[in-house]
Amino acid sequence: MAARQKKVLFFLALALSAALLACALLFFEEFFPPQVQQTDFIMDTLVNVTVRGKDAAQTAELALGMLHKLENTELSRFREQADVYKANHAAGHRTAVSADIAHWVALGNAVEQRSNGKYSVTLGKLSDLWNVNAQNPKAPSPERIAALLKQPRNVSVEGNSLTVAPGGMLDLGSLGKGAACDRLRAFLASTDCKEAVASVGGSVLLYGAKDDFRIGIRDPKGQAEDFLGELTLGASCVSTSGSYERFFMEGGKRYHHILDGTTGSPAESELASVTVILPERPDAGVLSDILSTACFVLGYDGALPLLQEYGADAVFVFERGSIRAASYTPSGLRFQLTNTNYHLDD
Amino acid sequence: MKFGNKKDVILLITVACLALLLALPALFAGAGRSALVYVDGKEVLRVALQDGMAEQTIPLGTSPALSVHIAEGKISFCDAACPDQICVKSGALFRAGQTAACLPAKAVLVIQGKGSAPFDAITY
Repeated sequence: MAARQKKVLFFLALALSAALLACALLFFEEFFPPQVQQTDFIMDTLVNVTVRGKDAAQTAELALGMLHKLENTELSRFREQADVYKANHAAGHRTAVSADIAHWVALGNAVEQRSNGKYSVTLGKLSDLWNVNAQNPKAPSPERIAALLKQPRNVSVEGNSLTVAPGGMLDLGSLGKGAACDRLRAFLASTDCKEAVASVGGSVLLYGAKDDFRIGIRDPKGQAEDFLGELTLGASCVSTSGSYERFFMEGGKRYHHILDGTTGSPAESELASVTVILPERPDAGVLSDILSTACFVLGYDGALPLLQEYGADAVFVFERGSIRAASYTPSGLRFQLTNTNYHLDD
Repeated sequence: MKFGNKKDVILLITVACLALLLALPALFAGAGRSALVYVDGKEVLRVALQDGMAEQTIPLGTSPALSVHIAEGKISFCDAACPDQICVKSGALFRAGQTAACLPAKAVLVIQGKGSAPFDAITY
């Protein structure tokens, strides 16, 4: 072969390698799109949004802005522009609210009924009385609790309007974080986002076609980096309610923030935490949040019919260190216990 | 054709080196980890975490007061003036994807960089 021909051949090989490399890079971009994580404080809790796909940074930013707006104009009971605040300050009159707020309150009311009032979205005055997050919290007197329990505190939903009984105060703290996950899912569906994971406090949204998201359940008795076990999930929402997150001690007794609507005091079940999982549906977030609270207050036996009715999975962690899983979804629950301080009990 | 010529070998090596050079940034992009501290949604501190780095404590100027402590490639919240101390109990972070937060001071600590985070998310 002539030297000149050889030279041409080698330049061809060089060009081919360059083209291959370029293709590889493009392939990489397509199959491993950029991933962006953003963190913010919304609704008094830590919000973490991880988005994968085209325009991921912009999507994450818009998502956080949307959640701020959700708090300020709909969910908050402390901000004057919010639907919940307006309904609470309407002196028993009907108040127009967003369609979502009406729907979320109706779901809360349904679970309130099924839990015989143990779960309720109108415990605002009682949680103010307990004020577990205060600098120096104190257990209120039984008389003051009884006085509040006597007042009618129901909220009725008609179309997109709410009427809060004068003795009640709507507090969507037990469903707001899950509701935020639903709002996020609806927003992501309108974008080019392929995959996203968002956590709003302890409520988690898993979005996308992936079927092996890995979710850690925190050890209720450990520190922030200690885990109890691991869930493997597809698109779904997960919420946990536990007595360890917000509480105070008085006279050797622990007072946590999850109130039982029938006693007006912190729920006394033998549970340390309940994690509820709902497969993807438009209200999976809000339902997982409501159910985790309701299940915590009801205790294991009382919770099972509720989980069955809503087609949810759950992991119950008992104070004594045992764990029970319950599954009412067609696909079943993929939970792996990884902490040797606990044992599975079924 | 026959590969044996000195020139051929040199050319091949050149191409290989070129490819490696192009791939290098992608390979090492994740080697460095950084700690990012946000207060009220704004980034107030960004530190590259290295194993042999000098120990230091940096006050964040928040209310209630809060500082971060950096030592041996790890970062933790410390000297928190809040009652619950949840952020301090989060311990020292070093793995990409780990986060800790102080709600009263609205401060968040995030470790960025490539590396395997243990979970996609955590529920609590």
